[in-house]
Amino acid sequence: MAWTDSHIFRAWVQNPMMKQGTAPTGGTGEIVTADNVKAALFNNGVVPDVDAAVALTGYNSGTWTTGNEVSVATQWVAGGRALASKAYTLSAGGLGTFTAANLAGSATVTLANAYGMLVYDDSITGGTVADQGICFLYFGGPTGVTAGTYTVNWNANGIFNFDV
Amino acid sequence: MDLPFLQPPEQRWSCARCTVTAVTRGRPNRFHTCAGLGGISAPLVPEGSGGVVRAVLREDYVGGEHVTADDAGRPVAAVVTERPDGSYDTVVNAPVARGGGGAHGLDR
Repeated sequence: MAWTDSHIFRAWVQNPMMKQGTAPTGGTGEIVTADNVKAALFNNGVVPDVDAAVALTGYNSGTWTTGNEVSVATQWVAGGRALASKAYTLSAGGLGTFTAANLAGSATVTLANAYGMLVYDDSITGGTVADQGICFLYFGGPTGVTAGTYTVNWNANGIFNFDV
Repeated sequence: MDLPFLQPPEQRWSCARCTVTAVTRGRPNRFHTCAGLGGISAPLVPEGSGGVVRAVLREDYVGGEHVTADDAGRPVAAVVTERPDGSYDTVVNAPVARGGGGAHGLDR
């Protein structure tokens, strides 16, 4: 089944977040604000799975292959865009939230059929998988742009959040 | 020698969906809370450009997703700025990825 919703990978929660199983190498892993986190666009050929084994969650692994990626030569390049101003907060009500600066488009591009994004840790270089996926976000349908700018604004409630 | 002070040209912005206008110098875009699009954040367009801004509603079920909604509660997946030459800009409103799942009693 193709895209249906948005989720944090359970494999990422297991490790590096809770340090269960084989630790990744490179980067800090669980401290996503310190690592180089990227977001890449994907078409409807992917089959996102919240329960995917860690080896299948990385960028260019599992369903997240470059063949399914939506990219252009400028700005929204293969591998995606790095997140800036990353921040993690914990609300008084116990909601942990990770967010970053919006991915504002400034280059004139043409792209089509971007159904969602993989957010992954580009600082993880090895262990079970490189570029381990953190979460995936479903746009609810195809998006694109013709000779214009393509921007992704994060939700007011963050890129991902979870109850603590 | 005195150097001339060069100021970027004035840019006037407007919205075909509401009455908001703006004047800037040297900034590529302007966003506003658009009353004509149900209170969502939308870009202004260069005055006189003929550009039109419209909201794109989410095509798929919302289910338990945390999405951006307008004042009427409709899920707005993106805002598109269309120009007379057929080109357009897109601003996608990403949902939130939630941790946990329904089977474990967490919000999803």
